[in-house]
Amino acid sequence: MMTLFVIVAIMLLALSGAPLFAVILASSMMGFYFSGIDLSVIAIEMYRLTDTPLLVALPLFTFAGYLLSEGKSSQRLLNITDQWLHWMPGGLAVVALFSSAIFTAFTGASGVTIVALGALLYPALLKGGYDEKFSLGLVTTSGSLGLLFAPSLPLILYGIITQQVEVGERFTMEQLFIAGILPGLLMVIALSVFSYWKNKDIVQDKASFGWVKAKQALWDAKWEIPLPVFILLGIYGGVVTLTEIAAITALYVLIMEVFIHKEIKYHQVVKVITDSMTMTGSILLILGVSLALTNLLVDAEIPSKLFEIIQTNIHSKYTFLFLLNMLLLLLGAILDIFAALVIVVPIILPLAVGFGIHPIHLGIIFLANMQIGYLTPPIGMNLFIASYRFGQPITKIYKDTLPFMLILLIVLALITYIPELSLGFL
Amino acid sequence: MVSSINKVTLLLNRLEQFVLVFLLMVLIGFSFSQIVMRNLFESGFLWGEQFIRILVLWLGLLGAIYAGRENKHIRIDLASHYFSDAFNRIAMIIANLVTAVICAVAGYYSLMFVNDEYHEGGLAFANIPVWITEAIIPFAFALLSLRFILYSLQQLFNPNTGTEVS
Repeated sequence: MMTLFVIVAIMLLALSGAPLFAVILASSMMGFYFSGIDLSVIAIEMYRLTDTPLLVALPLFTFAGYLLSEGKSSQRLLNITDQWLHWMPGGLAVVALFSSAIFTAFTGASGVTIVALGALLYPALLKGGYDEKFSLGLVTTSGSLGLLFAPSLPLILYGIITQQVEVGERFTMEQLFIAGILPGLLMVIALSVFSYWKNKDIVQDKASFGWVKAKQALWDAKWEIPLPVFILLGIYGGVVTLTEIAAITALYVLIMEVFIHKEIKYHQVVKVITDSMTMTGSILLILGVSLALTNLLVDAEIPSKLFEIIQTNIHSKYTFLFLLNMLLLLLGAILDIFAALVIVVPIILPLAVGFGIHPIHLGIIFLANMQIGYLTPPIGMNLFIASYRFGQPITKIYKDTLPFMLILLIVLALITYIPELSLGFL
Repeated sequence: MVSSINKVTLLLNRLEQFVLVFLLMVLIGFSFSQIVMRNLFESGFLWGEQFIRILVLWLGLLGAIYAGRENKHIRIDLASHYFSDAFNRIAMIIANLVTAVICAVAGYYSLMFVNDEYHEGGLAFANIPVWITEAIIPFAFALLSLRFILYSLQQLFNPNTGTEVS
């Protein structure tokens, strides 16, 4: 009875808008209190964050991403893809998809892609003769594309969390990064094909492709281009560790934006640092307090009990995967992606492993769902950001985004039921 | 009176910003020098790895304190879409007060933990005692607790400020 009261109180606390870290902290303190454990265990669990080797990648990549979105790198990226792909039917739409995916990989799906890139792309699409509904849907969808590509923050966070849960096969962050490539590409390509098919009648200005301009666009971005190349080589090559890649990336982007492009002034650097550390800090605090909660759940054997219950009702791995997708889509629409990762992964990872799903595959499924969750009515975050940014009613955004969302759902089904897409390289 | 309070707040804000900037630069600079030393000279500080991880913890928790100042902590915030503003305001005041209590409790027990560690001794890395590196935890909870008390007071007396939650 007492426990029930506490659970209801904590849920009310969450719903009334208390910060997530406080909700998780309250839950774990209550749990420890009822199991008769001294509450100073909270500090021990928080300090356990320092046992996480890859944690340092979090502030470093966040900082690099914030810096990149503050400068004009997005415009240069857009310019390259535009100059090189503009000639093909639906070219500009494909440009939008590819540049958004790359940009989001660096900045995380924090909505900054819609604000920074979408604001440039949307008018360009309209001017290029694309249907207004199509353009709006495309720009909204692009906002979370690229979550599966390294070094996206949610991908890193999934790796960090699973390392701590220690269930199922061990894997490295590098493997997780490689696993995201094919499924991520599949999403971009599927949307590109749709864009081509939808817009093949738009007459293209054939003369628009010129070597001079195309080369100039590449030259303008000569400082940005080595960055993804370096990160990919670093991950594949194995000469440097991920932590080292993160440190070098942060330093490189800082020097590039402040001293070479001179697009960010010193006082802006302070703002970028405080903003990115605010982000890092709120994630790290949630991560720290949820370490305690996870341990509590494992000690109480909640995941294995849950597994037993589920197993008596669901026998097939495929049914489980289907229900998992439904649950995650729902969560993706109502929860912040970091919150969903921290709360849900420790619980479902043991279940998924019990059904014979590889942790890497689960991660890719998880993030693919979250990505679509951003677009799911009524409260997917991209929908709100797009509505606000482009001054359109939210219901119109719902309608315009729907076809894109359906395509992503088809890709999600492929990713879910063909594990080789994520695991083929192992 | 008001202006001197404002001055102090401004100064504190600057100080917080400075610490964040400083620690991040140390993190980037130190990580980078470790890479250079390891690859070019095959050396480096043995305690470097541990130092970096503790630095990240400090940076993160100081960032969390700053997030408190900016009111940028992640909230689930489902209910506010469906209720009136007045209702939401009261719910928010209560939620912030409860958050302050939760932080205070966590801060108190963390302080007890650090106190135990102080008496036990033990080194984190190089010659730095472990309790110093842990002291950031009660510190962060204490400041967060204060911050959330301030928020609820602010919302109680001056509902038009500080209620913006993005």
